[in-house]
Amino acid sequence: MNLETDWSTLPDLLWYAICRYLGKSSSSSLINLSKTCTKLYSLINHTCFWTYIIHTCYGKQLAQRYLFDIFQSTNNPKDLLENIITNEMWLKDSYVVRRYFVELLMFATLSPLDMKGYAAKERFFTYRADMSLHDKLQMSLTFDKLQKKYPLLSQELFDSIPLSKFIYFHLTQRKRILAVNMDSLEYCPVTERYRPPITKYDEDLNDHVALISERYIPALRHTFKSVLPGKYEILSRLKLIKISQEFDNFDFRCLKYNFAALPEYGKAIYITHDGWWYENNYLKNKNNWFTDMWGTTTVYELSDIYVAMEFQLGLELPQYNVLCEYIELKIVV
Amino acid sequence: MATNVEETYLYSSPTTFKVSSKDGEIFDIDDSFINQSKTIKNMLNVLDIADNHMPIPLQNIKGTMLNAAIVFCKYHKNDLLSIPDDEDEDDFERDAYEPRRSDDISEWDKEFIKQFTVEEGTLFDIIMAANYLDIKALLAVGCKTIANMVRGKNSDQVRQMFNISYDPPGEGLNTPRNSVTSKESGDNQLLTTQEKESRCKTPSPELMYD
Repeated sequence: MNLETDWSTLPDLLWYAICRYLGKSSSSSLINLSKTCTKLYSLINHTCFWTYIIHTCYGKQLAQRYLFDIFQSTNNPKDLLENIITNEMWLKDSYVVRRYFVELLMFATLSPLDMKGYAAKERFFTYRADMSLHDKLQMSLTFDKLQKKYPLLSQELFDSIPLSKFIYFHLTQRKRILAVNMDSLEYCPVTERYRPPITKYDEDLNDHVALISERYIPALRHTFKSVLPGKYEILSRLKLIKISQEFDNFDFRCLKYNFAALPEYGKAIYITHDGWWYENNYLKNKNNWFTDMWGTTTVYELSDIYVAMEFQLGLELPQYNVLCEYIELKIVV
Repeated sequence: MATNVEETYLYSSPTTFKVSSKDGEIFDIDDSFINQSKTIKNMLNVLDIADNHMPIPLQNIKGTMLNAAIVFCKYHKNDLLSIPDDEDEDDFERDAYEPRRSDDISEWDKEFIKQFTVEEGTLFDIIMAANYLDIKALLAVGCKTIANMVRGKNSDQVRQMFNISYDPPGEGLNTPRNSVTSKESGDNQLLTTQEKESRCKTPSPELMYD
């Protein structure tokens, strides 16, 4: 060992150049590197470092958006429809919703006692009636709201961490939920009896996947908590299994695949596919896994995002079963 | 127009120059090296050296490193003259989760970089030389190699691998006051580096994990 060479004396810019190759793939290595000595700790914990990593790993546009633009813009609470519902409205309507549980959006937003989800749904209908409201909104974030995302951090600790480091972790962290960890719902109460034995359904996958069949889990829902403003592509990882080749009297309208993504403050996605979606994707992908893009949603303020997907797999004779691995929000420019 | 003339001179005439290293070794360099080393290119432009028998002194670089850099540039002479600066990239199509690749080092480059080791300090030297000479391709290979070595290692392993001396808490950001783990361990005693190393497990600043 050449004891004269102390790598901590490497110029800062060269450490930056090394760390850019760790930025996207190995954030834990950056953290470990910062723990090696005081010099690297202060180098890596500096706002300039994380700003540089964001620039080099995620490009100028995302850096500009997350380090500057969203903190410069503010939205008028009136345009945001912050106080769209009252307690009385919610209590009254949620009772109706629970009884006539037919619409996917309602399913997406209906967590027990979650008034925020209910408000998001109301907001969606108001925005749909007046699309011009969307034009008035911009992506906006304040430090107070960012702090709400990290309720476990003390004020002192929050203040000591550079803003760009928070943003880096937001950009790096995958916003993905495995289907087996999502809430499932049939149009009857969920009990253990109706849950499929969730084990390894697909031999290619080491992880668990959910089987969606006529008997089990025709609908799945999840809430992504405290998502920062931005544009998100929503995608799901699916595999179709054809279980019946019978085409006699087969009506494609019987098959449906609906999905909805609804941010508290943002543009919703709500799309219905019929049997052709199943047929096309089956022909295209055969028995392979594929990624189904739902579309892009824009989130204006720190929001929960409610997502739900629903499958109708045929009336009397199911044509398909579906395997679902995950749903993911992917940050896009 | 004057700049154009100078550039034409550099690019078109296959002139060789001499450079001398820190330890007095003299090397001939040609276009392949000049075109890839921004430092040399700028030096030649600024110094306007007419007599190519007079070696250009490169006092920061050892002979072995300079020789290696010349070999590297000769091999890469037909590559693109400049690697695009990633800082200036604005790639709209880029997948936000596509990692910046550090495993795309070519076979030749891998073999080339193997001759430099952390133990002998030569990897450090070649990176410093590439930085000084501003040879982007060589610097990228060096940095990727280091990044691959750091990946997946914990701080103790990194410290040991790169001979980084652990400076005990007591100053700056490493003070026990700022260190979450040291608060827990209650070990606020000031120790020397050797003592710390002998203890192996030392309180180190705990960062925010998301």
